[in-house]
Amino acid sequence: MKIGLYDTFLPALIRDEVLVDLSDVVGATIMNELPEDRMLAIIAQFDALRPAIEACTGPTHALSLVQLRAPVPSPNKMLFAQGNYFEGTDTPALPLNMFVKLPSSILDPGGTVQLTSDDAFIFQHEAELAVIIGKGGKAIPVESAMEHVFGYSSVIDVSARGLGRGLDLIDKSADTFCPFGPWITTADEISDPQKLRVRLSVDGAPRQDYNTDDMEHSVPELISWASQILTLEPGDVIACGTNHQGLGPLQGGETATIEIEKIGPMSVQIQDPLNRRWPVGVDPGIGRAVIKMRTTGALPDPATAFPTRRIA
Amino acid sequence: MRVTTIGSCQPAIVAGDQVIDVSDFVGEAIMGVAPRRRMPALIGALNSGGLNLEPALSRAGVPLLQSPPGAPLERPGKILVALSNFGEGVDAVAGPISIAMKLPSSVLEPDGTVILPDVKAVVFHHEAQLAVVIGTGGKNIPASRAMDHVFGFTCAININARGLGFGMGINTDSFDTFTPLGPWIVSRDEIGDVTALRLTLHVNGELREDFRISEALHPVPDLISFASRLSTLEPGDVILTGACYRGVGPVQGGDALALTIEGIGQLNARVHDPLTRRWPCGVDAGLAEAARQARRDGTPIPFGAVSVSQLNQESE
Repeated sequence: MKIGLYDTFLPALIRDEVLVDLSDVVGATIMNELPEDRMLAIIAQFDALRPAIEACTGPTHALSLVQLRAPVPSPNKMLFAQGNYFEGTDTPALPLNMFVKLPSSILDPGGTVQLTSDDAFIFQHEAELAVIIGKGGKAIPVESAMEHVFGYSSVIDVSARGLGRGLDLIDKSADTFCPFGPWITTADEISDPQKLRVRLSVDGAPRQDYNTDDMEHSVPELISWASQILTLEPGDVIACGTNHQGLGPLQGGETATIEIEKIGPMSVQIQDPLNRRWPVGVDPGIGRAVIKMRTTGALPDPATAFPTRRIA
Repeated sequence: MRVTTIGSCQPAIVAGDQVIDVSDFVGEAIMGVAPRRRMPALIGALNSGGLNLEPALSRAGVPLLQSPPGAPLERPGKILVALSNFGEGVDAVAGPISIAMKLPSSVLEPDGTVILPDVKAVVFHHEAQLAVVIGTGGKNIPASRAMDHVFGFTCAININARGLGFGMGINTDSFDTFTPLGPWIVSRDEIGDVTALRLTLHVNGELREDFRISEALHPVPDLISFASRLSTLEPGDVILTGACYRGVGPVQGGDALALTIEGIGQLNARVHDPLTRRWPCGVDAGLAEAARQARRDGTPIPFGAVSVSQLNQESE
């Protein structure tokens, strides 16, 4: 099933173009939580709630008439895998690593990414599959890691290039830099997360288009690795990394749309208070630099990995 | 005012050597939210003037020794860490402000035990840091008004694993237990001049770190202003003001760490290493020298300069 939040963080089941309100079904105790914490409680109690949610038929709204919210507006943690795709190379797997992206950077579906005033080389989109943890745990073995998945969603890891060390507050975690949604597709509907097509387009023009079968460290490996470091909790978000082929600039006035198979499309607008301009289209620099790193070990140099520069 | 928690996230205030449970005083708006959100809610209410705990000071308390405090913020909304922010005792060039994040789930209560994980780190280091606790949230906060947004200050030890990845991943400083925090938050009005605060960190009674916040290249208001330009700050958010590397050294199993910040208190932590790895004791001179050179140049500190290595490493 597809489960999400809308309007004033009300829980909902999404069926095609119709949204079924779940406020009554999940009960007063969950609805009395802080609105942004409701989904955490639903996820934690999902096994008990599931039959009633599946049987729920109303009240309903047309999807086009509500404002969808990020399905987990305030997760305890968001962990983002670095790289994590072979990107067409026949190279050995590199060591896995993840970085912290602030939950405060989450943006609702249909929201507006605000580019910061910092003098970045470029702002880019990274389309990523997001795993939503259902059952928490520490030191989870790979073999049982999939039992800890609640479902899947999509995120765009908006990234400012050429400012900090690459993963810092200024690079990745500004407010609105994490569009997240449009909802969660529960794990039972995605039997194999390593066979999902991930696409991102800007103003309808294709940019990223890759399949999760190219993922370097699989979903269960990501969960197991993270849980060696920290205690996973219900609603935690693990983003699976991105394939850098097809990255390009995001700039004011554009609409970026991510669509992951079996999840669905999510669009956001881009706003730039400084009205900067970059050439429109794919910027092959970082894609080439990642392939070079994978084949030669040479670390990407920000000065050459992002050759596209502002034109205004 | 000194606020902290006891028991299972029960808000408490500290008066002398007594701790006073205020969980039945603060009201349903604070006790009714999820435990991790209680202290942020309490701090927000105190900073806005919506709650006054002064009347509770006259209540009977119990000795701190009997009811030791938990982390004053079991789960801050976010933990921001200033990078390359101390002068290291040289004629320093201040680079631009740089701020990273560490996971709030890494917070450890006072007198807790840091567990060194089974990873191939070159070494694990302690970094004594001042923790600034935000009381009033905001976006685009000007430096001139930034201190109004501060509820208070506490002690933090930033534990770091060196030599894993590029030093930016969650396997650097976000392991569970890698952020001892506490023992309580001292409200801003009791601190006066934050730049005068002196931090000393002892390991097994031996002095390692000793520096003052006046040595910071970017003062607290500038850090708050910078962070809030990028990210909306909220009550209970924590900004660590950065490490001073001239006294940083290894932590290893069996170590007792004690960070004292004048005017705040003493934060203790023990260290446990299931693998019983050994490193030399004392300051990491290579890192300290690299930090001095980086400050002269105004460049980031190269953590590859770590000069100690494990003594009982198995040959492979």
